[in-house]
Amino acid sequence: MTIEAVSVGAVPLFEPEGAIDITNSAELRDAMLAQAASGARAIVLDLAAVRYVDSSGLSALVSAATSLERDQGQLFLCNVDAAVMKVLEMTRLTEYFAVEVSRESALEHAASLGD
Amino acid sequence: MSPTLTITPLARRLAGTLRPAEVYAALTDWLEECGSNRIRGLYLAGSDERFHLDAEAPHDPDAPRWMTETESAESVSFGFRNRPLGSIVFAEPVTDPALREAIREDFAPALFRALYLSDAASELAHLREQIHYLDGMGKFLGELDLEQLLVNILELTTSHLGADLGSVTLLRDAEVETAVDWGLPHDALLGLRLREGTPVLEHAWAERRPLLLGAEDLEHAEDEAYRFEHLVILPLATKDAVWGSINLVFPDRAAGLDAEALESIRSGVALAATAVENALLLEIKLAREREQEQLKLGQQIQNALLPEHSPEFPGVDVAGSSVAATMIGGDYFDYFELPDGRLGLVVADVAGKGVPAGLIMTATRAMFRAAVTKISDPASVLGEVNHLLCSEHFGSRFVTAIFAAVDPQSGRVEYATAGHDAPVVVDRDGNPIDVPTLPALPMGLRATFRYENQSFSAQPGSRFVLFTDGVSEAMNAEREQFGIERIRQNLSLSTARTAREFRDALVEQIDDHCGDLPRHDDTTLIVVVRREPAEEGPGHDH
Repeated sequence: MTIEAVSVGAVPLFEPEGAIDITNSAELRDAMLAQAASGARAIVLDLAAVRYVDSSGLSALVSAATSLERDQGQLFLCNVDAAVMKVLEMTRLTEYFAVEVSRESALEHAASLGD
Repeated sequence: MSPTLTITPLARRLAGTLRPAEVYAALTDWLEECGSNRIRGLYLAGSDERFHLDAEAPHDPDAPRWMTETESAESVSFGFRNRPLGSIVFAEPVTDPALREAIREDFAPALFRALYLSDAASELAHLREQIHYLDGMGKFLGELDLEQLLVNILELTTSHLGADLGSVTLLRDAEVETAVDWGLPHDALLGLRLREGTPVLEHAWAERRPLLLGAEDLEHAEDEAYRFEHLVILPLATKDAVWGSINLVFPDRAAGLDAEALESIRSGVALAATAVENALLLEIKLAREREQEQLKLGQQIQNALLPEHSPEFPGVDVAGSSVAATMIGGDYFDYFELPDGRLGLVVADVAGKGVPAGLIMTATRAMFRAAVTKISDPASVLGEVNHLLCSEHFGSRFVTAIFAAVDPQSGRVEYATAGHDAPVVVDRDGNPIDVPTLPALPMGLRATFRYENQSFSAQPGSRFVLFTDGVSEAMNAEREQFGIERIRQNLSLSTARTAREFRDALVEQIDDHCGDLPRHDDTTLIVVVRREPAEEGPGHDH
């Protein structure tokens, strides 16, 4: 999996594939933190192609969200798979991230934060 | 009668001369003795310059240049074995043929021999220099003290080449560092760029070959003190890597290195690179060993933080285990006697791994220990620890945990989770008992989060496991997780009776599942067995 931000407007968008686990979570975290460090207020993570997130993956998402939150920003998730959603709900991280139904709404909300 | 061997007066004077200057002096002495013509200049073939053998001869810019073809009345050309060698220009026309003959027959061979000898001698001296440098470097090969080695290398190189200033710069831990310097400060060198903007060191190291630079090649800093007329960078490159460079500053280009001098130290610099490589690799190895030693000590301390004995509570049999994936782990478990007399159990997992997670784990353990001195309610214990964790600045690191309070009399188990799995529970016949997990945020993220209690009843003979996700998510080679179902089956089907036997069986099954694969995550669990009344007494884990 290559982890690179695709920019839609001013909002960095990530589209990881397969799993966010110990094998790639650090890479994803660093890529998101780099975006946050370079001034992004919001990041959208499209999880349409992600079937599994382990604890290191959650940790990566929390890192990014915490970093964005420090500047009143937010991490947006969209197209969250049912199995992944279950993990997010169990950990109540649904409250910690902004979970949107579609990429469009996620991008829209994210873009409004950037203003 | 054989012809008489005549030895001319000039030949007699030339006998025993070795150096070109001596040969020339013999000629001028002889001319003086004869009261003859004065020499204006001597020119050597193959050289465009006047050959100043006679330092006192006044410089004559009008003196004709060497040309065999145009021998004039004032000049005598001479050669050796059909090769033109040079010419002498006299102040007055040469009228005496004996003078021409003496120059051609006696002076020319003597000069040729002297020139040849002086060439050979300088070649020899050059070789000796080369060997001296190479030999010096060779002696340093065994020097494993990096600092001493670099001092030796720099001393030998600057003195050998006569440099004004020098330093040895290394690339260590991805940082450029001036390890030793002799008047050449780190900043002066680091800031230097080529005219087109590339940093000088970077360029030389990438090229892996010596770089000879004049002031005109360099983009100079405003500080004139750092203006270098002639800078030489000698990269210390082996076949595997560039380890750094020897950097030298000369007063000017003339005093500096030419291609020939550079060639003469090439092998020596290569040897220096090998010596530096050896010393650096040894240093890295030693540092790694020290680091391992530190980690081992950390591991011992961390292991000592886990409970040594299972708690002795009537009616409950408990056994725990924690295996770190790396030397230092982020998981832990603990037992407490709560203020209300119940048995407190905690299994916690700090996000991340290694030393940072291990340090937070240590802090978390202390927070739990402090909290349970006054709080018995599981949700309140998590709330208190969450509050404490949120007040620390651990970045975005969070802690998931399950805290359970077991009433040894009634078997009622009250528990709260923070981003953590609920326990796996089976009854005395091995039938699964479903227990709920309330969704809850891990600790350390929101100070205001309210945790809630759940409970179930553990009748005699039933058993349950508190575990971290390192257990449920332990993967085999096919990337298949151990899963909660396997934990349940183990509790149901195992022939074990005591908590310790259940724990050992479970740990063994996880080991079998993972095989030789390296563990991604720490695996931590506590097995609790509610004893049958008849069993009261034995079964403690020591």
